[in-house]
Amino acid sequence: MITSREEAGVLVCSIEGRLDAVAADPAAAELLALVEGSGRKVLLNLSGLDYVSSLGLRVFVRAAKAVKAADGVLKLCCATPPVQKVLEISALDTLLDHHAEEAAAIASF
Amino acid sequence: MADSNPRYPVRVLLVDDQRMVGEAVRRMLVDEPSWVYQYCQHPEEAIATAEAFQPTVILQDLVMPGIDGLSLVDSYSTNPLLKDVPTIVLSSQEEPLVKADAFARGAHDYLVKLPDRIELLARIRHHSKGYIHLIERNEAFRALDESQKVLAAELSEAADYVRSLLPEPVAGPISVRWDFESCSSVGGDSFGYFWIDDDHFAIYLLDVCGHGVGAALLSVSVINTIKGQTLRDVDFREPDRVLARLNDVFDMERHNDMYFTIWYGVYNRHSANLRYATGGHPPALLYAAGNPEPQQLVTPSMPIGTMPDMPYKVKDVQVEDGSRLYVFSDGVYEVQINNEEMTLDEFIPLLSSPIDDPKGLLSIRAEVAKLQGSDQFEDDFSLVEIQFNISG
Repeated sequence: MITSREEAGVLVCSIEGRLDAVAADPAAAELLALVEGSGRKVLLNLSGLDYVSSLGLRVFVRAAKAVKAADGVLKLCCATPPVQKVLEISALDTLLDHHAEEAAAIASF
Repeated sequence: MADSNPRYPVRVLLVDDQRMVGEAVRRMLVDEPSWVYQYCQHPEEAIATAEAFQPTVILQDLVMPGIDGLSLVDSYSTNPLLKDVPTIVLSSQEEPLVKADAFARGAHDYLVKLPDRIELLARIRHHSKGYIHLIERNEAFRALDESQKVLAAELSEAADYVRSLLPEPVAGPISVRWDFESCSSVGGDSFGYFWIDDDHFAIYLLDVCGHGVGAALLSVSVINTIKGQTLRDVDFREPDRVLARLNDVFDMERHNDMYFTIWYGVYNRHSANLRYATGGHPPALLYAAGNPEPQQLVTPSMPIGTMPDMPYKVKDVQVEDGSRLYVFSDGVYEVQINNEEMTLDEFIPLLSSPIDDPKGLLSIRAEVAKLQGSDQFEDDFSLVEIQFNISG
């Protein structure tokens, strides 16, 4: 569900599929394992994410807290319209920097 | 080894009219002290003896006076208590056609008597082991089934308890009706409404993120906090303050990583002002009389408990007489239709004309169920309608 790569000193994690009640906790554990072993710049690319339930928000919240605890920065990019809607309702798009394009997001760190 | 299983020792039943064979087999088994041996000389007593003895393997003689051994094999195969017990047919001849017939009728093995002791013990051990594994597996399934029933009963009890805390619909200048259906695994939805004082009417609906008894417990805890107005130093007429304080009290770090979304509003009956705040919750919809386009009432902010010290915004809206307000959880519209998630925008038209159906809001749930092709919802379905008919 999550693939990662390093680009210009930024850990880019691409999340695919659905973050619902079933997928949220395994995805959170997977993402935390990636984030905790990384540097301080983390970008979540959401272009392959079709759906986030309110429970799925936990994945972003836990990752954001883990990165913040390590004095790092977590940003988001490329949210699909339904995911963008959830980010807006939950104000995560104000808490976490969100970019429409991955390249712009990486350059913004 | 099957014969070392203290719960299920090997139990051998021999059905053979020749007493001499019965004695010979007994001697072969005598060095296996944990095994239990039963000899049945009269074939007409074989079924009753087997039912009482509960063997792990049956040694069945083929040729007996008055009854064919294979017809007994037939009887074992159709007997509910014996159908899975392995049967080893004992015959005095090595005859392929008879063997084939025996296997076709349910025998598990075939030996020419008297077999070698070591071979007989090995076959008894092998077949008993398989049967004992089958019994243990069946028991495990039964236990699992039982525990699932207990769990389902507990979930049902949790759902009933949450439901018992929901307020009755009310009639009058501010009338409220609702539809609530708990999903099979019990979600964490709950809602309520109450007069804070003579002028202010509070409405709230919350959705704990997650399912099961844990979510229901948190949900109950939150509604009791709101109903009892037990947040210290908080004016319950101020939605943003209520949410900010709930965010402090129900920090997910201290609540097993659980959090919730909420819509909370307060209607002032003198000014007709509705002041509201949301915590990660979908908008409520306010329809002015005769207007099919609703105002979406939302103040985007984090779900309650996710981030400490978050500010919560508040907004005001003037409620015209005759307006309808719908407050709901995302479970009413986040359903799959042709493998696509239904969106809020697709759900809104269902509410856009007044619901005159005698079944009330049930017609909305029925409509969503029809769209998703199932009456079973994956999440709690909570929909509250408030009608403002102040002028009568």
